[in-house]
Amino acid sequence: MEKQLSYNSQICTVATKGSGLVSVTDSQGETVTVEMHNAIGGSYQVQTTGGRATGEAVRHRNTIWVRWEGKTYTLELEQGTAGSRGRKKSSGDLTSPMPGQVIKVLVEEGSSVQAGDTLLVVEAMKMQLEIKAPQSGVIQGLPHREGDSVGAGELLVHLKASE
Amino acid sequence: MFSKVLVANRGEIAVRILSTLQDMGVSSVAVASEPDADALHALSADACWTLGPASASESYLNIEAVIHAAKETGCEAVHPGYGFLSENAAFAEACIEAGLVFIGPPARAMKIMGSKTRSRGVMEESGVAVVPGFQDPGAGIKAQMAAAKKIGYPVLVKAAAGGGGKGMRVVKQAQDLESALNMASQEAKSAFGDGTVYFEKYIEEPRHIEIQVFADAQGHVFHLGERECSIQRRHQKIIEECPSPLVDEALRKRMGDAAVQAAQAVDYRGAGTVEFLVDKHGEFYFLEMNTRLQVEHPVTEMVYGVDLVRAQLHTAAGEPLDFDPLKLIPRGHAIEVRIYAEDPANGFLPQAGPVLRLKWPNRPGLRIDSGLMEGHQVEVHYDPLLAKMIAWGPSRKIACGRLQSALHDTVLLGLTTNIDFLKDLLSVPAWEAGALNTNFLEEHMPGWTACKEAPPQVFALALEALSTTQRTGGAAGAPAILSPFEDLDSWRPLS
Repeated sequence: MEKQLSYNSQICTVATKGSGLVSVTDSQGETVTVEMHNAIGGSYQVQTTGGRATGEAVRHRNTIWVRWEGKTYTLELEQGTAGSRGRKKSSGDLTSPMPGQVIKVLVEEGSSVQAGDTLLVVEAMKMQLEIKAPQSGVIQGLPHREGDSVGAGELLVHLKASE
Repeated sequence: MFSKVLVANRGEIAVRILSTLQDMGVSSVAVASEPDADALHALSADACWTLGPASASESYLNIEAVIHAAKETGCEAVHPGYGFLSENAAFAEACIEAGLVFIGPPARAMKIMGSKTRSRGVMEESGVAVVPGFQDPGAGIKAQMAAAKKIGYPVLVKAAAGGGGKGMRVVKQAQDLESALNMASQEAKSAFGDGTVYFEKYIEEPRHIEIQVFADAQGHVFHLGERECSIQRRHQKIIEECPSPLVDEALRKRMGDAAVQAAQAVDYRGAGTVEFLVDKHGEFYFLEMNTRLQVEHPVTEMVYGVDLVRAQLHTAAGEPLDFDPLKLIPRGHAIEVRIYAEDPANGFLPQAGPVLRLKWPNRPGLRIDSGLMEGHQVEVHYDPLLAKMIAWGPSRKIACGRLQSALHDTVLLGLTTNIDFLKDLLSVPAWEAGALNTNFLEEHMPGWTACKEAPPQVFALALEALSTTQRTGGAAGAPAILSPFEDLDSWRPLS
């Protein structure tokens, strides 16, 4: 099995080599081999210079959550090229930084806004967050109405920057 | 003692109250919203009653539904926990009207202390210092602007009905006052059903120190020392400890006496907390009294060796306490961290998601109050507090070390939490030195992020998780959450 996995901007090719060996190759082509033992209930033992250490890893959709040496990492499974995965997010897209509910929409499609204007208010866990225009421009896309639920990273506003 | 008690709450505090009921051999009933029907608190009680849909106003805040549940299940008393209906005097009155005992203070004390504006007045009359502020809900913006100018900026806007930092805004200049009042009022309305706000002078470099008070059924009023709660984000506490490294015996006595006086002034009964702001010079000002069990009550319990919920139950039943308050001896030091579903690298914004894996360490001096269960979904409808980790030690240093190693060894995967942030915070030199104030995070943890790079072992572990889910169809990797359609890896474009 060979996969491309990313953590932030770090991308590695990871492959099983048999007998518990896993090779990890970074974008510079440098390869490190890691020795793994006994997978029981999602815990894994990793051979280190100081003996075997336990790590945890679990997958949800294309995200893999890893706990290793007291730190949590969220890795993404890379698949194919970006072009085959739908429209890329453009720079004028404002997305929801948290999952929640749109409780106020203060602009309409076609409205002109100034940098710093509040466009929408999103509420989650009893906290309200104002979504503000990062620059002046015209509202071109506004997919949500008041009361809609939104996920983290979901598009809230498409803003066309003024010249 | 009661034979059956309903716990009108969810999450870690419901589980914690249920544990005392079980300890005392009292039958318990939990209530749950529809998505919470299989949550840990619902499964921990002897029986669970479903209240209604997810939204708090239709479930945990629905007074009629909660009282109906208590009557239908044959409960004699209701414990409200914290948040939700715990400081709602109308709920306390409705309980009594329905023939139920409300495990909390008398409705009159709740009404006075529950309104920050009224409680300030009562405190001023009884000679306890309050922070200068403006409290006229009917005043127009002009009068408010004039008052703010007189007090002097910055001012802190607060919700009259609330707690927990909801509805709070710091206003640094006059032109921001009106919008801050409006936003705070909306937030307060949404969180507490009451949009009344007020403002007061914002004390810079303040310490937030509170006193645990208790008034038993026989008329004894006493305090159980202080809790230091200065480390906050968005005016919400994240670390609390007992005793405070900043309080000496003399200050403890002065603050304790003032807190007992506050409780006596309103004929208080049961457990309550009097919060103070302490300035650079050791002057303290009454902030508010929380007429309920506090989130951070476990640090007091560990240092004083009492179960406050047990004491609340005895008092509500009219029975004497089973310990002598005059003989309480504080021992050692306890520190609590609050584990939140939030992203500390991104403005502490709330997070949601599935709990894919959960492993708590179990070791001497460690207590974990958790509402989590593996396989459960953390929803956006409720407070992001997931669990509390409390460590006790003979010294602050030992308690801190225990907490650090316990956080290091905690596994909570599937949603972003503040666990790694808390662990890093506990090794900041200013924290170790006990140099605390409420701006601590801005001063010492600005721009915190998770590790920039992952070591090769992390990538190897991730591949193991992928190969395990493929080999076993998800059984070992992510129980009950993975479907074959989520294995997008095997999908190819048709062209």
